[in-house]
Amino acid sequence: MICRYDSPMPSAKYEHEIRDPVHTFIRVSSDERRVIDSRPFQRLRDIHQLALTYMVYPGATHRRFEHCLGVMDLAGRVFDVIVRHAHRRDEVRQFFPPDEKLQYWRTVVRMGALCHDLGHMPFSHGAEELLPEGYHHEQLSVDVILSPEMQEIWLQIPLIAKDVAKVAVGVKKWPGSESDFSPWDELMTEIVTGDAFGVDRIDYLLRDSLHAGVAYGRFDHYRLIDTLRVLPSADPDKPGKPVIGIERGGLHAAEGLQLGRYFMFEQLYFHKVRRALDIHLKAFLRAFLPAGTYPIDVDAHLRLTDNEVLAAMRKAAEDPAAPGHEPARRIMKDRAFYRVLYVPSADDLTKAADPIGAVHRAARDRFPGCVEKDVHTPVARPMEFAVDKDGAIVSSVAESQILGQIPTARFGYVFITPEKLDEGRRWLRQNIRGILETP
Amino acid sequence: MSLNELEEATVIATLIDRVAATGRFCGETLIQKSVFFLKELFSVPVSDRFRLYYYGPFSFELSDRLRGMQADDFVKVKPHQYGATFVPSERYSLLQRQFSKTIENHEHALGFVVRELATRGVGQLEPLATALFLTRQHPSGSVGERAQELHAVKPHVDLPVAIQSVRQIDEWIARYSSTS
Repeated sequence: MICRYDSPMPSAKYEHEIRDPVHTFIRVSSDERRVIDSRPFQRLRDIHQLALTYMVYPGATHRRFEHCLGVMDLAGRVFDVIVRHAHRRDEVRQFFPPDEKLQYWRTVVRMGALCHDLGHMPFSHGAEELLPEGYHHEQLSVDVILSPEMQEIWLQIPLIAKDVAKVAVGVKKWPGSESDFSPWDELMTEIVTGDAFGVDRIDYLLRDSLHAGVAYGRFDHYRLIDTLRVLPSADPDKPGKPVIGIERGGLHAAEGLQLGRYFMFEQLYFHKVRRALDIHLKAFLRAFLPAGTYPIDVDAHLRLTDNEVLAAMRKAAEDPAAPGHEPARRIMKDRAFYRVLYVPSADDLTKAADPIGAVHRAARDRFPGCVEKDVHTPVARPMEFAVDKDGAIVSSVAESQILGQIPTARFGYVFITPEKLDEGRRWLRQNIRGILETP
Repeated sequence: MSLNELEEATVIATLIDRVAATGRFCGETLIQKSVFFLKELFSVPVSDRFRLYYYGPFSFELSDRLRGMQADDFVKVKPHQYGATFVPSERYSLLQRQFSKTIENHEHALGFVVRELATRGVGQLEPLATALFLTRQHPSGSVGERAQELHAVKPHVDLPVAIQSVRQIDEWIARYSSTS
């Protein structure tokens, strides 16, 4: 155990090492090992990190299991950097707990990071919208962390389960009230879930990049982590609020992260075939799942993985009478995925406020049952954060020449079945002008 | 009548446009509090749900929506001495053209934002918006009761400021709620 707090502190014993292709070795304490060995965590071995992306990028077969180990490892590193006495500024010193409490919080942060994805349903984000209205995977993560099965482990350590759950999902997804979070709680969850420097993001960019063979996600995360600090917010809207920012020397590493994220969305996460596969997958799951939705009961949730769905989908692909045969056949047997009918051109965007919606409505009327729309925008706000520039706190947007210029990745497709593709393209060529100019 | 997603974006982008035209800083907090007032004081049917957060009522959905509007090039952020300020972007004119009626319908409320809110700093917006939030929760509470509650949930807001904020909200409700 590396103790870096400049003050005496009891240290946990790290008795186990796990080899990892991103972080080389991940060291694990016996308490963490208990969580890793638990049924909810072992289930993550059977949840693909990137859903069916491996059908486009064959190497992208990695699972939530190793991602969560990586997030835990990074969370510990960030914690060690930001709590060092030498790194604390006077304006925010009051928000730090006493030194004797730091080991507790370090454990909480690593456990929260480890458990942050326990609520992921099969195929991760690929079909998350099949959760009942108002539910999201973070809610399920909280439910699992607070379940009797996990409570047994927390009691033995001992840790307060709610502290772990809060770190795991953050204020935005926390099912309780914001008042449950002290400023320190917010800092702890920002380590894991933060929009700008959350280690969840750092790990998935590095890991997805490695496995998919898409190098754009790489950046200097060592430098970035070394320069992270707790700073008073630079945002005039949040005066004095302690937030995680960086020293000026880490700005290029932070820019690298944001650029990497932008490119990864463009190249990998929004890939047109992956998005088409998601549509077929959701169609299959609606037919396969009872009531067409994922279960929210913890036991039922834990019993369902990619394996059960893939086995059922393979079977349905061969049986025309099986529920979900059509989408299963398209994915598993014929590779007859949706094709892109329309992506708006730069010129189209100057003609209509919502060109994708307009084309989708017209195409749906012309080819009923054969057309789908898929529009998505990553919603996080990563570009603005506090920068310590020679002691003064400035906004990253003002300090960086690059951050303000990085566009928000957004994609939108109108898809059509391959059988109708040629006809659809001919029809669209003849009608696009009228479609876009109709209010 | 509910608004569709583009109509909601039109109202918010117009709000940003109007504040930007005054040359004032238009950070996310001003937008958050302004949309909250549009919804709660003028019954503009925006779908974003607000919760009482660190600096008063806040909507994560609205925060996400602003990111989406940036991606759609309806609004953008510009560096400002205080941080990032929102301004309308190139494609806002498409919204103006397509939804001119929507803008017209809400001129009264948008005027209020420019006149009464954009001129105030975060320190004033927080107690006012929180006072409105608490008033909507406890409409029959006296000025003193609501001010006490405001002070309880936001201890950094002094009681006299809390009382003044609740009174201001009552005055605005009397003046504007019936005319929306």
